Amino acid sequence: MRLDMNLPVVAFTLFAAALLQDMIPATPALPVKIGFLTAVALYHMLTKPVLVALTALVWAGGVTDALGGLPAFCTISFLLAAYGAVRLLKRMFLEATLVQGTLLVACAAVVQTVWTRAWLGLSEPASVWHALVAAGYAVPAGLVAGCAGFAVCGLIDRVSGNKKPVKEANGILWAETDR
Amino acid sequence: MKQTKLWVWLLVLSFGALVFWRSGFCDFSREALYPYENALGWFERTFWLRAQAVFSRARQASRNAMLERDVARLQLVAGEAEALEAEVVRLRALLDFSPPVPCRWLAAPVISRGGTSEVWQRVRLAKGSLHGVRKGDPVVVPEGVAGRVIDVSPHTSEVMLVTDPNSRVSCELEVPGEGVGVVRGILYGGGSIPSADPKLSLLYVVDPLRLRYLTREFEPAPRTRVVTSGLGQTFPKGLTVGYLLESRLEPNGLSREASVMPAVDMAGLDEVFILATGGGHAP
Repeated sequence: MRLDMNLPVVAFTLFAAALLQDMIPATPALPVKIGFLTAVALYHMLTKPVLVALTALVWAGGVTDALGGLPAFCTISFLLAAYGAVRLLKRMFLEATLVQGTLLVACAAVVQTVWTRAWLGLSEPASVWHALVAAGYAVPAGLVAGCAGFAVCGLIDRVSGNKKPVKEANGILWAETDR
Repeated sequence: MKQTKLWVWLLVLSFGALVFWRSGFCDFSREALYPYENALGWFERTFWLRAQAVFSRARQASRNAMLERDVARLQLVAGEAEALEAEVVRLRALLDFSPPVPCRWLAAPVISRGGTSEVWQRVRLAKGSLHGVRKGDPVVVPEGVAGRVIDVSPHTSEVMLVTDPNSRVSCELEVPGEGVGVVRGILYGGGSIPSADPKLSLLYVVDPLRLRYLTREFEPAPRTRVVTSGLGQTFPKGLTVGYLLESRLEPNGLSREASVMPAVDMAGLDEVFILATGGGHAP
């Protein structure tokens, strides 16, 4: 049986994202974690078939919850909701470009921050305030994660042969026109 | 068709693992990342610090001289401590006290701060159950208490810092004053102090800890040292936790509450000591 190249790509990108997200600490300049796992999950949601995207989001959510000390299915449920939104937006205008992907991850990071706090039930005034401050910091963190995630995942997809160069109407690849 | 079946199976197995094998999945995730995170720490200790040492020979020489003086002083202190220990053992035997729980100090490097989420105040250490670490073991640094182990996998352990909102430590004030007796309270972690007028602050900056249920008759002075009371069975008595900032009566007027500054800079934790009750190497 021929190996579906999506499997190693999904596994490798999620592993690298988990490692980076786990190792890079929050700093005074950016006091939130950079959500590489969410960025990679969103990339696969935008570019892969349904089953591959669902598997990627389950793995990404499961690892985020397991390594972050969060309750089971906290992040998975967020990513499932995000997948629904992504499929809807894809019908209208959303494409897997670097700019759109980066903006998408930044928006998702803000919603995920509020979602996680709401799931944990931190409803005291100071906790709500902290959640809003964290959501503010999630924008630059999301931009960094989105840019890195979409650029690297796109590169790996091209290297592994999952993503083919776009053909022109006459059937000649753009990549072959320079030769 | 076969590819579709493969993905369906993967999806079902992943869900199954998350639902029925949650703790195993957490351990598996930590163990999968452990070699890479530990390798980075090893590289830093083995090459980076040595490379730095080459460029700072003069500073190293003066530091060595200082450390040698410290070692000589500590040898004298250790001699006195041994004599005191022998006396304690003899008196315990005379009074028929139960022997203290045997434990060992275990040095452990920090390999991750906060995991994949910044919600909780946690760090991960590169020592686990294979090294004798158990759930509940206290984690300290020379400045004071850092936290306690809340989860253990074979090579790693997860530590909840005393600054975590879920942390509770039984504490007392050191030398509160003439004729006051022991003043005990429960130290709550920071991060969720209800306030009618919240101010913009960095999440990275730790809120003061709260020492609650102190006796209302005694108003402690600022900068009083707060130490563990040993009553919670987790931390031994007398470890420094922080320093008192201010105190006030609780709204119900029954007890006093104090703000406490942690003794340990949690953001700067690189290496800590685990007080392993389940074995470990001798200090």
